[in-house]
Amino acid sequence: MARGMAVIGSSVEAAQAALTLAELGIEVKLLTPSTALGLENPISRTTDTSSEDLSRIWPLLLRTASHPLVTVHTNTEVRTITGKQGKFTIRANRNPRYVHTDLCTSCGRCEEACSVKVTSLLDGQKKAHSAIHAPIPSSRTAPSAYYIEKGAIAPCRAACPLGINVQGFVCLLSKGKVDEALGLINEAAPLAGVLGRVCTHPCEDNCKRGEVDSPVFIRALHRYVADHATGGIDYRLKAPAGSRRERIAIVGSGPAGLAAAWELARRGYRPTIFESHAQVGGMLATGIPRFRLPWEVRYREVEAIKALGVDIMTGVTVGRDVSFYDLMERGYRAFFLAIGAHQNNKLNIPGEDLEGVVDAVSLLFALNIHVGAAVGLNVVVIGGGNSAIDSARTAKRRSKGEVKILYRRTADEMTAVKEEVEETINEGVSIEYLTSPVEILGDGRKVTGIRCQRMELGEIEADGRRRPEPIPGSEFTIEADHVVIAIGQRPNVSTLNAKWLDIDDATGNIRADPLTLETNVPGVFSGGDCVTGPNNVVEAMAAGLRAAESIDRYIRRRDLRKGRSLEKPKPVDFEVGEKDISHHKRARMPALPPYKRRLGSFEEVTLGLPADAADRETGRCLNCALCSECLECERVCELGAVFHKDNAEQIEIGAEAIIDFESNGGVSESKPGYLARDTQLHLTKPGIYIVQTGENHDLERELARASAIALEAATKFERKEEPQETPYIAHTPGADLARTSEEKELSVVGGERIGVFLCRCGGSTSSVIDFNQVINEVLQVPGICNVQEISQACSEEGANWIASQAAEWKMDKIVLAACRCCGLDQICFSCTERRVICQENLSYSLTPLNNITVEFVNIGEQCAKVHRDHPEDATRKAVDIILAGVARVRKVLPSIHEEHPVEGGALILGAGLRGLSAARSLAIQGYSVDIVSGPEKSGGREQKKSAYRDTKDSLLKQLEEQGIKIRPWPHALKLDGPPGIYNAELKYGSRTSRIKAGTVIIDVGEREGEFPPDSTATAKDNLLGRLLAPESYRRTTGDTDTAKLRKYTLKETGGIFITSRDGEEPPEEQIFKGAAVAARASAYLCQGSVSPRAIAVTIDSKLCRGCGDCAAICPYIEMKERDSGIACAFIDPALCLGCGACVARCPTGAIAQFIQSDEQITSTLEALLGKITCAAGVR
Amino acid sequence: MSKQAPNIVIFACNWDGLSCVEAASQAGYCYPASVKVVRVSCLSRIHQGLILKAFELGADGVILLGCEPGNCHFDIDAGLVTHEYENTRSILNLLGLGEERLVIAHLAHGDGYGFMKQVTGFITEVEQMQPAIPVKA
Repeated sequence: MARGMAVIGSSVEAAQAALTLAELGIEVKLLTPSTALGLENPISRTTDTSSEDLSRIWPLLLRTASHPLVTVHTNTEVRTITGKQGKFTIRANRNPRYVHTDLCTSCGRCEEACSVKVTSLLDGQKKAHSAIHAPIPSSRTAPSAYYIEKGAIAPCRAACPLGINVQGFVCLLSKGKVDEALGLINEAAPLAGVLGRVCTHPCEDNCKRGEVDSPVFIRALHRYVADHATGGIDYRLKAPAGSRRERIAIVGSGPAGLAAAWELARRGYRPTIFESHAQVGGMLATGIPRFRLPWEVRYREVEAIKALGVDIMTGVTVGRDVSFYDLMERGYRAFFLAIGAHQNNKLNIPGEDLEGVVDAVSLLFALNIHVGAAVGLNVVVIGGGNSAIDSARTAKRRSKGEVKILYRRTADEMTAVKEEVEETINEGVSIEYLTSPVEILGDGRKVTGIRCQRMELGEIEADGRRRPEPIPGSEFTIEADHVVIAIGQRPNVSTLNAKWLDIDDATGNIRADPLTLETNVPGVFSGGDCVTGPNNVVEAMAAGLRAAESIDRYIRRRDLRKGRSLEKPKPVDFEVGEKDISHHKRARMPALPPYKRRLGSFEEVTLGLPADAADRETGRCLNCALCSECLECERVCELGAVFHKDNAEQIEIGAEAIIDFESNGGVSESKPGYLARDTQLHLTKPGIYIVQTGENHDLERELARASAIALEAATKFERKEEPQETPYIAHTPGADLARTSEEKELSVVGGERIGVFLCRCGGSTSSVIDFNQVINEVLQVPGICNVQEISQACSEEGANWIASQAAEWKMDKIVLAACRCCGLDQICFSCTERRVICQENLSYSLTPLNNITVEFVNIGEQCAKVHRDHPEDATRKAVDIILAGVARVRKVLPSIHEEHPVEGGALILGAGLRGLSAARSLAIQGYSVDIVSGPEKSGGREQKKSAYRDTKDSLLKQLEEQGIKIRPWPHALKLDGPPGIYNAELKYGSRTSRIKAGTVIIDVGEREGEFPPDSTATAKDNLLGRLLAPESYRRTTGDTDTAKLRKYTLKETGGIFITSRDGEEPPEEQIFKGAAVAARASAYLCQGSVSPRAIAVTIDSKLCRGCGDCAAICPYIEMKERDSGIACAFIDPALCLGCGACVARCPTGAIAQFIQSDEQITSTLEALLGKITCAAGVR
Repeated sequence: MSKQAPNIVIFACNWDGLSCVEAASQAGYCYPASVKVVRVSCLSRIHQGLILKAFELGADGVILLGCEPGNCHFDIDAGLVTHEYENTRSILNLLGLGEERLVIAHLAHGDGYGFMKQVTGFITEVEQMQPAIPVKA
């Protein structure tokens, strides 16, 4: 349902417009594409607003974000706007932030846990920060919730067929979190120890570090994690074990079968693997030699898979020992055929049948499983793949003679892993490249040699490799007594006895759908080498996982294809060339010296990286994808605010009218109204205001324009008469005590039940400060009824809990040691979003308990964070800080400040363009407006400036239409309070006019009609004259940039608005500056009543001796004559800004600030300087 | 006995002064716990009595931390505070404590680095002074 207005934009101006609307009582949705207000993109400041300006108007952003009528939608990009005025629908994309804005308290624990360090350009400076960070790293923002910088995923992870979060585990390892790293690997795949040794590492091949020097040694790190995790293998289940009763048969216990079983078990199934050999592991056991993959590693990991609830039946060949029919009878609902490729291809040359000619699979099987099989003295291995290399290396360990490899292409074309080829050569195996066998020679029974021919590389074949062609006449013969044929394998499907299965005749592979792995028979799936032909471990495992997904879907009768794709995820776009990356050498894998590898030794050749080398290697990771998704931040967040699964979503927001700062142009149709022309505001259709950013960016000007536009929109906005929640008035000690006189009595006299609460801030303060010690010490203080710790005091639950404790313990005073540093109802430059929320929530929760006074002390930014290097000192200081708070809360004086009503309309003094513009804006809103013109000027100087003249005439005409007359300049003018119900006295000769007004706007200037600052009509004996002569009160005129911006950052309690004195601004700027002032005046009138600031002073007339020292420095203080004839200082608290300069200068102590008395400051000093001890109590 | 870090009291104005203290914290700086920050609404709230009280209670040095001239939140002329500051310094001389134990710093808003520079510089200076004799026994 459309309700309220929407403001679209990320700029400070958008925030200002939203705040203006909210202060006029309109509900506002602020939609910003960035992560926080005032930022153009997540990690750099807006290009238009400098960081200096941003911090100068910080309270404005904070007030906007925390205003009860403003809802901020961050990370929200508007797509379309439909509907018409009063009933717009905004459709927008909410981009993932990965952090719940309403839960995150920006305690910073996640940042500490994050191991990804990113460098960003901030304000032209390089700054390192974590991947999870505040919208501006190490700075505050509104909202303050953190944000995770995520690009696409890293190339290593994208390349991994198993989708292992490579960057993530490397990251965790870099922080020494080995168990966590293993956990992360095992989220994606089992068999970490196997993969860490034999994986063909597509990750390393895609590593961006490889473009700088050489890739990160990921496989070695993978192995390091598997070998050094102390917590054992702990595969996390996705569903309770045994929750699925359907039986599933997996044929083959190789990597594909094991991976499928693992995944199915994690999903609650109890699959059975049938393995024809006695050893579990398929090629892992029979193909890969033990010196590359020790059996213990395989055992350990297979056992862990079994422990998940996987049954493995060894020595059972499906199709021979048990038929598919039998299995179906026994209730098996789905099958996964992962029988691998164990049948060797033939050379198809003469002599292949001779004794001594074996195939690689048989040789490896024989030497791996049956240790002690005989090997010849002159072994020749034919082939260039991994099985050829493994055969040669295994044979070398058994043969006292020579081992030679014949390969028909060159080293570059070998499909074997490069490192293994190197090791093979290290071990003394020779490789004859460009050599192909023509005939195997024998003595009729046994092999004696091979006739070979030399080859050369010809044209490029379909597989991208060059075709080897024989060189005529190059034939030669080599001796051999043992020939191993290792030119590839094909699946042996015949054992399955499954004639119904669709087989590719050419390759012998089982035909299965590439995506779902379903065969021609529903419910029968197949994957791994038996589908692809000989491949590697990682691809086989990936097939296993894919099959598990399909089987799960098949059993649940879900679509096998929906939402799946074979497409690899797109990796992040990372340009190495643009970065400044220093070179670091890749770690070297320590290995057994070659002499230890000979004859009979099956000891593992590679030794694994030592800890220091692994640590250095992790440091080589470039963290290309920024966030590595190691999920450490999710783990450390006590509030559950971080969630990596955040997805972009479409949202719909209703609005009655829209102000758009974002589209910046693209206006098809403009209907210039008066503001439209003057302020580059375009109305594309009624109810939508498109604002274009001005060319000369002057922040004050832009803010004025934003408020003017907001006011314009608000004027047209039809306000509903439904009851709206009144803006919440923040709780302050003073305001609280001001309720009733009885309550006042109670809170002052009632006394000595003080409760102290310590905020752990999600662990960020308690990790430095020893909370137990603080609690023990502070508990000794007399009058303290309890000291308790709380996880997050600023949360709603936290506030409710404090209130419940306060009720239970009958506390009458509370000291909250958290991050808020005062209980004032003001938002200053040091404030943060959480501090505002903290106060709001707490005062809301404490309201039913009535008279509880709260003192806030900061043990975060002012203690734990800045003394984190000395925890003992920080603990000591935290006690002192709390004692100071206790001392202060005891000395809070009851406030006698009263609420003023705000009644009537506006009085505008000065009829320059700004004054007239303000008058018009207020009149349109229906407020009564009185305008008093400045003095007439002689001479026609203004006449010449036609633009000025025209604008003025047009304004005057519009005001006349509204029935507003302009009073001439009086001979004398007197203004009296109290604020909100001002009384002006205008003397025209003998006649006196009186005007009542809720607010006063003064258009100060020297021009015709403007209010002359040094006017004789405004003597110093009245408020007006004093306000216009700040210099007389040791005050500056407030024309610095900071002072001008301050108007937009602070809440007005006095209700007197003075326009800035830049006389030479162009007419249109004066127009919207006037409107901006009108916006603030409207907000003031809109309140209905106004409370003085809690820090405002009061003057005790009994103590005042009338010296006038205070009145000499403050225009708001007036010396009034008493009946006795002695002067006495007087101030209306609503006018007081609370600087306290008068307090410091009062010689008799007649002037008091209730929450900043000398006594309180002194107590603070005593506590901080260690003069108050807990046991002795607070004085 | 190891020399203790000097007690430094900082009267920080609530506006630009405190914003520097906060900014230093946000930027990740650390300073000794013997630096005590007392927040006041404005430096004009501080008078001689309060500064001398700080020394009486054991402060070795006091910094008045406020806005740059012309940027006062209350538009107070910087001269008003400077006047109080100069007076107090002459009293400190009279008392034999030495005027250099009291300094005034006008920092731009949010200048965490400037704050750290001021604090660490002042600590070093105070460390080189003779130990402060408490005004009152």
